[in-house]
Amino acid sequence: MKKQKKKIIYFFYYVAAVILAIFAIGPLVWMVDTSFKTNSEVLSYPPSWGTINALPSRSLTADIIKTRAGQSSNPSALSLEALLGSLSTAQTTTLASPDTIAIHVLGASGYRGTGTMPRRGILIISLINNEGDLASYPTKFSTSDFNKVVNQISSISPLSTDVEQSISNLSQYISDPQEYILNFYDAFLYGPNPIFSRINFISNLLNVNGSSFQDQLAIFKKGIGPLTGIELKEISKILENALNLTTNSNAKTEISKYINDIKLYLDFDQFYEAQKQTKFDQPIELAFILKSNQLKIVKAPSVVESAYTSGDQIYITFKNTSFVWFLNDSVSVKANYNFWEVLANFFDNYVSAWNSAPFGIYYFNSIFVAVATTVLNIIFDVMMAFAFSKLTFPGRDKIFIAIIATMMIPYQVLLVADYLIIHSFGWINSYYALIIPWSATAFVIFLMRQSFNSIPNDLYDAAKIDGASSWRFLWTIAVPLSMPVIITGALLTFLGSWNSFLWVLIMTDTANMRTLPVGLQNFIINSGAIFNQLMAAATFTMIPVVIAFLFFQKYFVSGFFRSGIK
Amino acid sequence: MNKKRNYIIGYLYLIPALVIFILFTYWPAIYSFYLSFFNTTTSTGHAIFVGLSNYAYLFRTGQLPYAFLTAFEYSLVRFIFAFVISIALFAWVESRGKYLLKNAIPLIIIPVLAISLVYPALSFWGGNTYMIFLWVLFGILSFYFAKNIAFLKLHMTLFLLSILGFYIVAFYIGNRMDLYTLFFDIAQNNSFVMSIWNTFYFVIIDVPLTIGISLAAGLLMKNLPFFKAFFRTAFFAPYVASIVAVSLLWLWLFNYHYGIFNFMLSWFGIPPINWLNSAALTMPTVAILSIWEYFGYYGLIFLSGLQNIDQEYYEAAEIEGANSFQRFVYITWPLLSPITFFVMVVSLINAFQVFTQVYVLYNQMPGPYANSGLTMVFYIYNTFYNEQQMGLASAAAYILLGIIMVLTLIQFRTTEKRVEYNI
Repeated sequence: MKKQKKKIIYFFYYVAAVILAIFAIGPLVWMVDTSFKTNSEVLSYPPSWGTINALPSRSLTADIIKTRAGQSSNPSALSLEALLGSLSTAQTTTLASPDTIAIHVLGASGYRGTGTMPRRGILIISLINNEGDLASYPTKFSTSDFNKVVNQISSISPLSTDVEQSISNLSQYISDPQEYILNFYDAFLYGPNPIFSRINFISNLLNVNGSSFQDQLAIFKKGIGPLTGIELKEISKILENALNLTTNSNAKTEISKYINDIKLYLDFDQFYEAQKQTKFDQPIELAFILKSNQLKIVKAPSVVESAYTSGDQIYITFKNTSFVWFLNDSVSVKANYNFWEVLANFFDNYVSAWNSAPFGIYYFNSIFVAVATTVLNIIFDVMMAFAFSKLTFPGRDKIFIAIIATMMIPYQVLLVADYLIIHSFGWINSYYALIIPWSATAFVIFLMRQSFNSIPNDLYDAAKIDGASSWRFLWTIAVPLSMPVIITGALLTFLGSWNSFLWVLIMTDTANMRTLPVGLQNFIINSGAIFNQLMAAATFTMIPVVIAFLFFQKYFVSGFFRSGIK
Repeated sequence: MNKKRNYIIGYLYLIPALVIFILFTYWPAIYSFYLSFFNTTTSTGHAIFVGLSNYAYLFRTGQLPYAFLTAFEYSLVRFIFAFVISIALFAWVESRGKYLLKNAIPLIIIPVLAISLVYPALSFWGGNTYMIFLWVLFGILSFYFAKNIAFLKLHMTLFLLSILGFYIVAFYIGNRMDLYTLFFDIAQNNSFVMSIWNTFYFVIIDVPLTIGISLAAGLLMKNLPFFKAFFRTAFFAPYVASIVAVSLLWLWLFNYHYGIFNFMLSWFGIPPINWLNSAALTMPTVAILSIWEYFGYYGLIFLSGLQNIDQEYYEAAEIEGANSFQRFVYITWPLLSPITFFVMVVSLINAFQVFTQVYVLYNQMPGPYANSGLTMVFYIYNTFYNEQQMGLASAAAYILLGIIMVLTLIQFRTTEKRVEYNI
């Protein structure tokens, strides 16, 4: 019965301990987890544990750039991240040459919010047509067919004014079919202000007086991007019905204008699609080349000539064909990584955080200052504690109390005067300012004195009789006997020095002299809120002390107990 | 001769550390005190002796909504009211047993009188001299009658909490003006008073919770049969990390949109909390972070104290049939009191130094807005480093030191009799 009760109590103890442990460790685990994530994973809700950085392949969201006018035409179709990315890079997309297709990669692992893709691994790019198949392109283009269709569409009438305007604008390109096609699709679908833009076109239609198709058309307002060919065909059917039903002559002419607009587009589109005879037989596989914008072609149809990348865009140049043939297509981009590349992806945030601030210098300064402070502390504190514990001289205990009393004075109180004193020594912005003032610690002296007190005085007397000096006794007998307490003191001073912030902030003003906490603080200010990199930086500033703690933990804890704070 | 030589050797051992203490602690302490009477804006420029005007400037009040004396009267009346009621309550708790008859008369009379006068005492008569006299009388009477209440002596903390509770009740029932609100009004126009306000707010949240949680951690580390080392490492891990890195981490955890805390709150259907962008939550947020950072460290100190308690006491108690709660109250807590006292002093001094957390969490600003995160050290840093007013900063630093000294002394005095050393 009693045992049962004890078991229940232990159960509650463990529940409480686990809750406390989660409270203590959980944030640190989450920090390390976040440090491996991509930007988009950090900025996703609800948060998740995993990261695609650990996976050997990933698909990237990408668009074909379809217009000369620059950005993807419809910002509302972009995700917030992609929009921010496109705004921050502020690139104006100019198509380098008519042979080159530009692919804008959006959903890739990012650096600094620009949405740049990780520049490693193999990219598998598939151009895909409306049916979800690999895209096609023409190998021979007949100019006579082109002229025929141009003549045919020029003869359609009546047309609405903006279509008429566009067609007359296009007439200047008749000698250059490629330009004609590009500008045609620009005007109708993909340009900055296209005729078949979903909202405007439908709204215009709905404004036609005396018509009875409002309800049928309203559904086309839903959806993203310009109207597609299939939708246009349906609209055309609805309009023809309406044309038969309506009696209002004004409305009749209006409606027939719109029907002709759509017919004109569909005629041209049919011609355009009919030209594409050759199908891609395989996706394009590209590999990154170190420190170069060029992309290596791993495997590709013969029509692909070369590829390069700039920012978050990929450019593919074709032989014998032009990018205008892929205007109606979409693109899927997949990236494959080998083991080392996965590893590189995984630690991407660490590398970029390390490179975006002089963390090497900060690290060296931190280690140097902390080690120097600790060593000086041990020497000075041991000496003082030994004198307080084993030597006799007038005023010993009064001096001891005076030293202990300083524990009550926070150093921030003395900051102003300390600054002025260090300034007068000419030590501002030097290692002296970071090391010397901290090379004696009252608390450590207190701990060590407690420990030395527990060494019997007889031992000291015996050593003296044997001819050992107090100095020799201290370093060969007393110190080894109090090792745990000395290690505790060393760890406390090391931690204090490694983590000190305000002092370093005030006593130094250049990056050369700064230690990790101040460097990290600067990094936070300079880099903005990219939490994956910030967490990576926080993690690597903690690593040395965490290792030191794990390594010396045993001594540390027993030192605490031995010192017997009472 | 030999003796003298020994003395000299003794002093020689002290020299290195003593030089450092003198140069960077004692001398600066004197020098800052000296500086606090001067008006100096540059480190080397002319210092003008201004007497106490730095201190006067720090505590300038501006225009007060009501007189200090009125506020004081209200506070006093409410405090004695809370005191009388609390004593009555405690006496009643104890007298339920055999003391009922003995204490019946004062215990019935005091609350009846007190309650019959509650309303007038709290509202418009609060500042009346007659009322003050009456309430002081009640206070003395109840103190006289309650001198022997053992329960009260045993549970001083509970008694103080009870006084605080009744005070707050009285405050909300009555006319809402007292020293506390007056202080808050002054703080609105005076950033140093604001910084004192914020620091005390932080200390009041931080210190009791830190002590409570670290005591729990210490007890768990002592009593768990398995995985002791794991939990010890886990609890201590946050202390090892630098405050800057930790604050950065919590900046992420507290994030309004993507932070894990708001996500976890959503499991319970609680709407997201704007941790980092609310003046009211500034100090609680910083306190949560600080508790997390330090509880393992103090827990370890508690553990070392717990392990120094002689196991025989527990064995004896077990034979007597004491349950675990009784063992805690009558053995652990009294025998642990030196450690508790040490942790109280250290964590209090530590809590008064809060700066880095605010500096990192709020992007080098004292809080999201309205100086809601301006702590005393932040004020000192800002006046010294950004405004270059050495004298003013020194004066502020000395006030911080004074507050810490006074509070530590109070702790020494109040716990001196109760802390049980060396059994």
